[in-house]
Amino acid sequence: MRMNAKSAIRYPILFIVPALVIYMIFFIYPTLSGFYFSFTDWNASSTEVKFVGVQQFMDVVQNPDFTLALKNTFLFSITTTLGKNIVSIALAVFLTTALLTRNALRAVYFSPAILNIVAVGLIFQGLTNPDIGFVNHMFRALGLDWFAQGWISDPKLSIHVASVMEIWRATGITMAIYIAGIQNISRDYYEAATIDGAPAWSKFRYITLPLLMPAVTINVLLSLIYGFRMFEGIYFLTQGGPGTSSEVIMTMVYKYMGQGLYGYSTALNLILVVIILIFSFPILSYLRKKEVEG
Amino acid sequence: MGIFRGKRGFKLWIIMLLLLSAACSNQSNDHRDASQEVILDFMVTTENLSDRLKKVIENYEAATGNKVEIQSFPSTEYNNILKTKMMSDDGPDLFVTDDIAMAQFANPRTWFTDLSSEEWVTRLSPGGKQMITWNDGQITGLPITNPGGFGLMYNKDIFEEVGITELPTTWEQFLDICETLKKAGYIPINIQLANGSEFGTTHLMHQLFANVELTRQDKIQAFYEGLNTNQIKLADVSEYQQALEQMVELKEKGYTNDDFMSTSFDMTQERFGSGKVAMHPCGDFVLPPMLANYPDLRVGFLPAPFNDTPGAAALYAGVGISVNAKADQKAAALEFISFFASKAQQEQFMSTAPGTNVFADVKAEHNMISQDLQVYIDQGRAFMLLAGKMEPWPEMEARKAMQEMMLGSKTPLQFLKEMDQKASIIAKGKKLEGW
Repeated sequence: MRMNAKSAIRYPILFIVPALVIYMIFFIYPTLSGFYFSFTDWNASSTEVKFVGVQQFMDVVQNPDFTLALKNTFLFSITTTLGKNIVSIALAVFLTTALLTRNALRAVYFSPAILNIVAVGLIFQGLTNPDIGFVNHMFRALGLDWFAQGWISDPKLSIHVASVMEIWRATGITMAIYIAGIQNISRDYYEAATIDGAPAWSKFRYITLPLLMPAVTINVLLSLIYGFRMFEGIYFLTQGGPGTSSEVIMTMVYKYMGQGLYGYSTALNLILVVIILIFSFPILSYLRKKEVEG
Repeated sequence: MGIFRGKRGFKLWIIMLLLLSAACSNQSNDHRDASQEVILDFMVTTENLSDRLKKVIENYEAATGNKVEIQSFPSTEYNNILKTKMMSDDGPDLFVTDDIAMAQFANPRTWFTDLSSEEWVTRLSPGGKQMITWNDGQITGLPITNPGGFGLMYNKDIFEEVGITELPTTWEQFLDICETLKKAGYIPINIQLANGSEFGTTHLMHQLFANVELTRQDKIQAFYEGLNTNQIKLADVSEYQQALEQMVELKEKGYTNDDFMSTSFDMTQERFGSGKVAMHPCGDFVLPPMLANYPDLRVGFLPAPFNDTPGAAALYAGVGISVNAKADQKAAALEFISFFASKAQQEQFMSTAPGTNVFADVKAEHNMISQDLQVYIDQGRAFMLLAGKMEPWPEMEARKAMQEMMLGSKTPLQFLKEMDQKASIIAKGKKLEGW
């Protein structure tokens, strides 16, 4: 049966419209209204919403906690991105060798990823309690009292403990993506390298890593973005404390939202979105250039 | 898809639009059936929908023939749902807010009906009236959880064992008592500053801050007005600095637990209940869970002294029920509040959860903390906490800064200066006058 030109265009439109309407209502509209509210004085104690322009953003950057929160956000994002990816590449390489227990070990290393992040935060809170926590008990039992630290109660260490927690939690899922990537690499390359007498490190450096770059791109980018917008992990572990020592942008957003400063916290959130965009695109572009065809 | 084309299609579109608009329209008319039965919408947090409150509702329904339709939501979602409903003029007739006094700062004032001219207001005790009255003199709610006060809960058995027979009336005497307790092997004061449990220590701060009411008695209204309009800075209030210095002194003299940064609410319960610590800053809300585990515990309550005075307690009003200013069934909602305020209902309400009551004529049983607090209320030595008086007071920030102050990385003056900075952010965000 032949369709005329009108029918040919009608059906694609009919299929697109419902999805587009849902997308507009649940994504475009909230995003644009969030963008608008960041330029207003919207707050809990008033029913009037006034446009205040960029003044809101100037107030946000002058907040004494903003610089520290920004620094912590970068520190957390970079540390967790490096940690998650380096550890998981090492695990992926190790768990794709002819190891008898590799399937059991994959399950073990992946298991933290299925835990709720709130539960992980509370577990780590218990583990790193300086007085009754398992970590310090273990160090003291081993006679390594020097290693028993204040952890989440120490303003100098709290953000690093949060980073370690996130690396522990998310390494499994990053590892799974790397394992899938390694399994897609043709064995021919390794056989040829073995015949040429290449050592293990050279095989990794010149075969595995270049051919794994698509997986590296996706993992690095996801880790970076997830790190920038981390909230639950830090909130349930330290609540941004002690003091403001582990405050990140998202915990500030939550705090000011809780204080009823909706416009202010939306402005903070918008700053974070801009930061994520500024850093994600160049990194994506750089990593894509490093990808090679297998 | 031909059914949506042509004249027939146009009619179908119109029918669909009408159905849609009917589905989205205001439902208020649904609340009046043919027999004119009044149905009151009541929004409440699930955590505060107690059995004793349900009993009041049951009694009201039996007495009036009206119905109360309860919409309960977990507190994590409650505020957002209430705001959405209020802003779309679809708010409930009756709703609850967290602490009545603090509600004046956390919500638009236009939501609330002023109840100050209601008949039952004349029956409020002076202390009770003070607890639930807003800065501008409005009364907008009645407590559905017991109001109370912050001070120090102490273990009577420990005090008796070490020979403390009289409660301290000056700060020097208080330090002597702490020394006695310390020498006897007890932790004199438990400080609770683990992340998420810091409120246990800001209770002590609020109690000591309340002394400003005694030192500035007749100028107190002007003082709070000054704080609210940026004419007085927290860092310039010598009483506040003195209060914080007293707290730091306790730590420096070794009268607090060393592990305060990892001490949580649960650890406090265990330590106090098992008799390891002698005093802990709190309100009477800590009693029910503690007595459930340690039923033989005997506790008393005292405000920590301030300089050479016995000190004042800080009051909180409790979760309150209010009438929506735009309620569909306003008359019935006001009738419900009057019914709840009646002597008989209040006495029944208090019978299952002893504590402080705001009415002068209500015979309510006290708990171990509230009976001592009542003495301070009657003596005029108990005042609303700063968070219920100063609109831009940054309570959450204070809890975190308290950690730094007790760790020694901030002095009391630096703490207050930081609170001034944070208050300024809130005040500017809310466009308060003078900021």
